[in-house]
Amino acid sequence: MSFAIVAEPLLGVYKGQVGGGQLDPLPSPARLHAALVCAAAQGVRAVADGDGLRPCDADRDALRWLEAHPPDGIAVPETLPNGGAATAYRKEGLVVKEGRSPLSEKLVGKPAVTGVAVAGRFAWTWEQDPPEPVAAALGALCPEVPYLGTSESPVRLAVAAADPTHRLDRDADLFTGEGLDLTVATTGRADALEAAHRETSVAPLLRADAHRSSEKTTAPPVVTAGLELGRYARPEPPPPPTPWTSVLLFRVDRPIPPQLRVRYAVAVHRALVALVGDGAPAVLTGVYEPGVSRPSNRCAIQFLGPDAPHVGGTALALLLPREASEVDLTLIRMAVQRLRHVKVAAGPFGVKPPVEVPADAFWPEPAVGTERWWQTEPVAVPDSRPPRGGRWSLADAAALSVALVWRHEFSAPGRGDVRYRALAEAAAGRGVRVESAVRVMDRDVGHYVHKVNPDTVIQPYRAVLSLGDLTGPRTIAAIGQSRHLGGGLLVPRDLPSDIVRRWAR
Amino acid sequence: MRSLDLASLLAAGSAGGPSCLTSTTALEPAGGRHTSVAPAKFAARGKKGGVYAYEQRYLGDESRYAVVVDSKQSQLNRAEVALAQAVEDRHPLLSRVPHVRVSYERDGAVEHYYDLTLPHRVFDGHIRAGAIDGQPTTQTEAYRAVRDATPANARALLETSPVTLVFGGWDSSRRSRQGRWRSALVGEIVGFVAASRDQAGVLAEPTPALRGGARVDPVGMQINLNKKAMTETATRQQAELSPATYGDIVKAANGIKPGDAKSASALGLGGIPPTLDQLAGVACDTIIRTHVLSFATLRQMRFGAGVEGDAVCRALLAALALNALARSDAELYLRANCDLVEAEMPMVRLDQRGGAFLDVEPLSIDAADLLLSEALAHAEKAADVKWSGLAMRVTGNPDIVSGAVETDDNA
Repeated sequence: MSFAIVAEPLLGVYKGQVGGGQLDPLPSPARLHAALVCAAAQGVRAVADGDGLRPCDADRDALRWLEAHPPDGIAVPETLPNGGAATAYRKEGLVVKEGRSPLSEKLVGKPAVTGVAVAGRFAWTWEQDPPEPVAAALGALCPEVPYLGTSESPVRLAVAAADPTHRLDRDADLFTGEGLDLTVATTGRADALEAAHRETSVAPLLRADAHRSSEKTTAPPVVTAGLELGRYARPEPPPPPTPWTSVLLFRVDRPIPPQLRVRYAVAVHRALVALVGDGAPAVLTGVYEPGVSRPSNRCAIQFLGPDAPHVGGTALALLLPREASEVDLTLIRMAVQRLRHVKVAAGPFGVKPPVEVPADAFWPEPAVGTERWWQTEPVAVPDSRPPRGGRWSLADAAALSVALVWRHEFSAPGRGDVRYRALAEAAAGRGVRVESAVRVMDRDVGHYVHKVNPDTVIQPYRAVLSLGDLTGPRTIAAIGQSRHLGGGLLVPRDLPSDIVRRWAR
Repeated sequence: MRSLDLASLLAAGSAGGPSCLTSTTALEPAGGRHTSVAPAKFAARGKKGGVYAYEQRYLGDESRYAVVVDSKQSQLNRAEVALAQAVEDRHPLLSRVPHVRVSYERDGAVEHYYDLTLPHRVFDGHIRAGAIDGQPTTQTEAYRAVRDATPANARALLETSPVTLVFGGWDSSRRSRQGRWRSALVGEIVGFVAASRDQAGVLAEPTPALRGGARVDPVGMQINLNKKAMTETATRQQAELSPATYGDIVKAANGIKPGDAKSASALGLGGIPPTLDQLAGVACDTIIRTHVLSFATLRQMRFGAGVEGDAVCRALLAALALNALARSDAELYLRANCDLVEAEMPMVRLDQRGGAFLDVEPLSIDAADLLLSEALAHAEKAADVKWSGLAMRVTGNPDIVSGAVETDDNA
């Protein structure tokens, strides 16, 4: 909860206008500031200034603090806009020389219903509390504000604590992206409002006050000084927990060919199990007692090319699964410190002591102007045979593999084929998109999987895919049947944003 | 439950006092919950005929459609009319409320209009266009003082037209130093209708039911008149017809050829076959009347009486607003087919700041009169306030009344 100014619409409606009379969907920070200026300049806290009033010094300081510190966030409740054809005709209290009569009362039609219905309260929030004198001044000033918008939308304004629904994006480009672009008071706004008020407060000459036979409304001046636009954006929801929490990353002394990664990973796996010794946890061995439920993911062993991040060269990565216990993880961390050499028929290799990197901060940020997509490296292998009962593509198989890795994010009904189809569909619902999936023709499927069921047709494929909102852009993960032993690693493939937008259309 | 007393109003008029008082009342049709009510009818933009004003609202957490049974403007008008009626009736206390009267002479009869009911109160065109003792109103010192009043010192308004301070007024045609007084009292009556939603759960805007209308003439369902008879009948009824209607009938009569005759339905003769095109009542499961008296608004006014004296003056204005509210709330007849009763006691709450509230007893007219008399006596003593009834007599501009025509007020 942050320091906040909270406004409760007392009739359940906020009525305000912006620009040329358009409906104001919510009171902006500038409107709040103007209301506070008004309350400070003529409420009980104001001090005499000639034959008029001005804000006291404490309130002036508070208003200037607001100008220097626009709200870091705003809380926008659920609202419903209103309008409609119903028109109320009212006499404006003016006499005009129009129509057939020499003099008549001005009758004006205005919408009978305007404004937005509000479920709850608006709030403007600051992450840091203001200095005590400012907080005290705002606390006393807020209850002196009777309305926001028109006098038909009275509010109860108070200093309180609130959570924002939108946060100020100080680097926002107002021409792209989404969010609420609201006017915000900046330095000099209160002074400009006071000056405009002083200027219009001079009584006209006696002659200028004479009644005229045809009257017009003299609109008050619109003061635009000390205003700027601020983008308030709804924060992206935090990505769901990563399937693997962290990565133990070892620099390797020579490149590992892609077609040998599964075999090398199997060798590393054997070496690690041997280093842990008796009682090696199932989350590492992959061997579970009968009846024990299996987690979505186990320890995964992957190889990265010569530009692997964090170590700057070919690397061996041991991905530690989220579902492992602390005891098991401690055992594994202790054992891997002793890993120096891995024996493998194709040629042994040495490793450097590991560094541990958080899985959600593994890859570098996407390049500017691009969106992060992923490519299977070297290939992925479907987790199941094609389910019966309809069309099933490699793209569906990839979506299913993604869903199985993030299984805790989905509650798919049914069993077997029905469940597989439901999982693939649910992944698509979370934004998982497979843009290309190409089968890899290779007679030796042993390059891509460790154990092969004689009834299963192995279909290794390369794919470019988006993980939707399942994870952040820097997370390391792998998909498919061989994800725990050198297959299906997802490496970044940053695509230009305009191409991605074209695909979306 | 505590009753609202002068001490509460004095506290509300002082720094640190409550922001507002809210009064909420559940209403229901006088005929019972099964009967419908006739909401306020509005003009339909761009087409003929009346419409109801529906708007989306939240009832608790549920989004619903509500129909405006009585608008904010109408509710304020009712409060003002209640005060004006008491002044007309020479109520001993309310007759002392300062007010401005505009008098017109039309066809030998004198008509009076007051700032209590004119649309823009003391800044209304009728007052500004008139004269006081032969001098144009806007050129008199007394009216200039009213126009020049500001939140820094609104004493001239307090002692000339306090209703402008309570119900608001905007001196919108003045070139500068415009008086802009927001209404301290707002309110409305809305009725919630059955929530109908589409398959996506989106609220469907209600469609008003229509009722049939017909006229039966036992003499004959079709009565046709020739040109002479039509013209003579219209001329005999001219005083009862609007100029526009009379003109239309005469124009139609002039178009009747010799030996021919046309329907006299415009003169109320003959029958009208049934049609299903008139707005029927609206069934509401919940009708709520809400009023808010904003002390924060009143606290943005000073009266040249010092800190305590100014608080006394604000308490007097609050008592006047509550008096008008008590009187208008006591009359629940809004329009034909819209008789309402209070389903429960009004809930009146005084904001105590910091999320605390004080429930107080709703004010009866007698209690409101007592409160106003106490507030006035205290204001006379502590702030030298002078309330002695009619404060300004304005002779209306004869050019206006000679040009006035009867118009239908659709709002």
